[in-house]
Order: sequence, then structure tokens, then C-alpha cells
Amino acid sequence: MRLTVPLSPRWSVAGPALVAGVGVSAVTLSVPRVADGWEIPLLALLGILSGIQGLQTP
Amino acid sequence: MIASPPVRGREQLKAFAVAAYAAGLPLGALATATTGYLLGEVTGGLPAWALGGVALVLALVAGGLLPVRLEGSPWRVPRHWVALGPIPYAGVFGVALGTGLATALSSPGLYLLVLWPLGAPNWWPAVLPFLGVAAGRAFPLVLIAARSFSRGRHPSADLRRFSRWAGRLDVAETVILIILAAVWIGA
Repeated sequence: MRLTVPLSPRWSVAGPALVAGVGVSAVTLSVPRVADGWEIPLLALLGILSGIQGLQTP
Repeated sequence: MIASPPVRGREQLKAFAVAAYAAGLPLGALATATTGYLLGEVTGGLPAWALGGVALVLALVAGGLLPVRLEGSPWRVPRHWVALGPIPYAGVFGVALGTGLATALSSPGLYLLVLWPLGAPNWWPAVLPFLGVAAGRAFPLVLIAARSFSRGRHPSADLRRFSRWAGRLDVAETVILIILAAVWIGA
């Protein structure tokens, strides 16, 4: 018998994103100074992703 | 609705309209980011922990855990402005979308990009992410429009297909927002 846990659409986005985000954050913050200067490339990437999604909302 | 500028008419006119739209996007982006940066200079800026807090809340919104709909401004570029001519209209359309705030919101993460220039160390890092928004809006449209025009059709249908795929980028956006929140709050 297979036991499945239905995942709400909300968690299907947030779940993997939370795990990945917290995981990467934990690794970067555990190494001193490795996170320094990360925010600008991350913000630029966030901008590109936001812009691509913006194609659908004029 | 798809963010297609008015590109009906002759082929050359369509290409110029897309070019005007793509050129208007970074102008609008520079206007918003520079205004934010100057505001930060005057007011003393935002501390990292505040940006981290905003990034965390926006991550919850982008991930769907905080049931808040962020739609941005209800204003849209009026259709009757097409009286300016199709190319100027496309340029104005690009500038309006490039500001990120004048029309509908592209995604929740945009609010962080609006606040970031207030805490940025200097001008170039302040405007770079907003230029990323302009690039993200311009390049796919130019590529899709060029492909559609080469096949003799209007780009709306191709844009609609692309938008369905682009809607899945909210996962990547949530990941980036969580990392930024951790970096700033942990700083």
C-alpha cells in the first residue's frame, strides 16, 4: 500500500524553495565572509527573474 | 494580459516599435532606481536588517505562504496615447513598464528592488538590479518578436506561451529572497 501526502499548490512552491533557500543560506553563512558581496549579483538575478515574469502583467 | 507593445502595421514599423519599447525600459528603470538612491542619500538609507525583513516577508508572499496579492498600481498606459504615433507610444509604454511601479507589479520581489537603492552603498549597485528588471522584460520580448515577425505573425500568441513558462520562476524568486533575507539578517 502506498501512502501519499497530498501537497497543496501553495506548499509545492514554498516547500522546495524554503528547503533550497535555507540550505544555501546555512552553507554560505556558516563560512565566515563567504556571503560578502553576494547581494548585488543575487539582486541582479532577482531583477531579471522579476522582469521575465513581468511580461505577463503590463 | 500580455505586455505587448502596439506592433501592428508594416514590418519595419513593428521592429521600430519593439526597439522603442526595449529602449524605454532601461530609462524607466534608471529613473526609479536613481530616485530611490537619492532618497536614501537624503534620509540616511535603510539598514541591512530592514532589507532582510522585507526580503523574508516577500519570500513568504512569492512562495504563496502569505496569502497577500501584490498587484501594484492599477494605472495602465492609456490606449488613446497611441495618438502620439506607434513608435513614441511603444517608447512611453517601455518607460512606464521600466519604472516597475507605474503599472502592474511584475512579481513580489520587485518591492525589494525598489527599496534596495535606499540602502545601496553607491549609485551603480543601486541601479544594476533594476536594469536587470529592464533586461528581463526587454530581451525575451525582442527575441520572441523577432521570431514571430520572421514567421509573419503577431508576437502575442508566442508571448502568451512564454508567459505560462515564466510563471514558474516564482520558485527561483522565493529561493533568492530567502538567501538575501538570511545574508542581510545574519550580517
